[in-house]
Amino acid sequence: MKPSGNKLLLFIFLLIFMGGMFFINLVSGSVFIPFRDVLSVLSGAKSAVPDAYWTIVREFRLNQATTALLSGAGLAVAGLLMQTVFRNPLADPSILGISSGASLGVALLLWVTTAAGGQALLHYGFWGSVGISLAASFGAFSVLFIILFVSRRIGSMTSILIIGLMISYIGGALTGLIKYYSNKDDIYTFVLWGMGSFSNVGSSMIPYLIVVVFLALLSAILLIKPLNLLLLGERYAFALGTNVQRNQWFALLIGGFLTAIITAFSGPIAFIGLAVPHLARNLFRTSDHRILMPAVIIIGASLALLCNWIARLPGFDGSLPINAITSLIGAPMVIWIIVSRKNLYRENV
Amino acid sequence: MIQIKELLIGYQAPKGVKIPLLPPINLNLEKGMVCGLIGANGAGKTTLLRTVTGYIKPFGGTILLNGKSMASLSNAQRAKYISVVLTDRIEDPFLQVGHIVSMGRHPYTGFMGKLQVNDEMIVQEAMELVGISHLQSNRMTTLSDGERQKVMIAKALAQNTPLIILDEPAAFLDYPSRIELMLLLKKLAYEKEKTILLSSHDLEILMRNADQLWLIARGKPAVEGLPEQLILDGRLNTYFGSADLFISHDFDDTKQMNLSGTVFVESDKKSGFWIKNALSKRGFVLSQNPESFIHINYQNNAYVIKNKNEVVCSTGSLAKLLEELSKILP
Repeated sequence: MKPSGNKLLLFIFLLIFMGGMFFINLVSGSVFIPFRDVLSVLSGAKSAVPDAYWTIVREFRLNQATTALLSGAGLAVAGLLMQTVFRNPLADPSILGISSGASLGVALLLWVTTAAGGQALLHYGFWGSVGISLAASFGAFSVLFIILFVSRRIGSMTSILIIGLMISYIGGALTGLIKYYSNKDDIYTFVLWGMGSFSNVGSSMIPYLIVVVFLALLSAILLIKPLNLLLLGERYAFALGTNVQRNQWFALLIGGFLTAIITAFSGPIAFIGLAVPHLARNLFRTSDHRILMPAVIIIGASLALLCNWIARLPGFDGSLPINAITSLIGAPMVIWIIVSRKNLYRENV
Repeated sequence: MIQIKELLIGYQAPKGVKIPLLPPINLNLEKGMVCGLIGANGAGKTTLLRTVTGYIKPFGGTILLNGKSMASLSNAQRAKYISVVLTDRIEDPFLQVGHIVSMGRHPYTGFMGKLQVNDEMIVQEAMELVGISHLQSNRMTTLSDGERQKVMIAKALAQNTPLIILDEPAAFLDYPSRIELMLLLKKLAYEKEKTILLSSHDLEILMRNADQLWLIARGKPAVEGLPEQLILDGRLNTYFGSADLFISHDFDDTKQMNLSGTVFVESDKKSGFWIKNALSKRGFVLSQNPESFIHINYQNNAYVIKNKNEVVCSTGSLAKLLEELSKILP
């Protein structure tokens, strides 16, 4: 099925919206920088603008917008993969317990540094934030490896779903225990990390993030055909010649990897992975992954940029926690989708 | 088309203990036949079908497809031999009929599943043959059970496999839809030379429409045969409990007859019903006139065929009888 005229228009509109959101993220912020100067910075004319503008746009806003774009796209794809593989509309990137693994990693690091170094991580500055990313990656990837290992032995996706949920609970419980014995500064750092932020990735890390997320998205495209077949159920997909278990495993790998890497850098970002696939299905009125895959990338990126922009709107003191914004926007969106789709579901009964 | 040799099927209990459901199975199915698989609940119908479709591995034995061992086929190769119609419901609220049928082309398309002109034509033909062309842009979830079934049959046709396996296709259908389904399956077998294997509880419909039956029951060797043969020699009863309960012999069998008919059957009423059933399925025209061209006398499990009062042959098997008749009346 080729995208029909309407769908193509919708794609173009969404692309323009995404570009617009990206640009708005560069233009707006607590410091007012004239539109013309932002353009100069982007075109590389360093001498034409004050040094401060250059630094703010290049070092902060551009990095932040890029991180938001990649995180949004990556989480949305991870959500789509999970929803299709588990055949569950409530599945999202956190379902495998990866985010909870990342949280546990961060909590552990905070606790260990305070216990061993006698000083809260808060006071380690730059190395502190690198340490948090590393700890989050370590936690996230540990859980991912456990899930991937277990799923090779257990074929049933329902069992893996339950195991993922249980790992989430264990991670959450351990994190809670650690927090109970932590000091005020560490808890503050942890809470801040848990609220998510797109401003943790420095210029030196951005190129790596771009390459890694890009490669993962590219691999997800290879899964489009088997994902479509999985819509018919595992047995039909098998009879049509797909290696069901291998493709499911590959989808868990890519989805889990995206979640782990993004959570490590931006913290556990809620709702984008859950809401965006629903939004894409409803906008394009299809479950065909040939359309959904590009759609969730664009919508996910746009939504993350929108949330980042709202979080930094002038008038708010500094920037608001991203998770509050994604949830406040994402949750009503899912409710709206379910309510507007009520008729579709009723026909099933 | 299918040869099953010494096949052991069953399920895996905890700790890797293999529990076989049936003694080693030996069954065959010829090309272009409609074959019904019957057995009581729990006898292993679904397990056997899933094994034959490759979804579960047998504990032992071989399945040959056109002489090739199924175990040696890759997923993609197997998908060009066997297509399936299952009871699994498709609940995705956005999937459209046309898209589902086009997924049947999966074994033949590239990595994005893009359809070539040829594929498009096959998909359209499949939908036409099944009679769902007008539904192609409808969503699957808006269709009735009968229509959903046809969509999955069209998908199987688009897959273009010599063998189509259907698991309980009549399960959710009302009576008229069941008849329609069987007529469609027969059409596919006779016109498109598809080999059709279906499991069902509906003995009556299978008796009237299937060319062959596979019978399974707990602890007994699986048997195959002409449906009427299995009734006449009493095996159906021993495998299926009391088969008579499920089949009415009361319907008017004179409807099967014709004044210009050429074959007269002389026998007791019940056996005669089944012999006539077998004959008319093969297209022999039955007659009410004992003076007809061909006269068949059935007594003590033996058939005597007379051609214009001359004995042609006598035989003990219905299959042989049909074979002889088709020599006389091509």
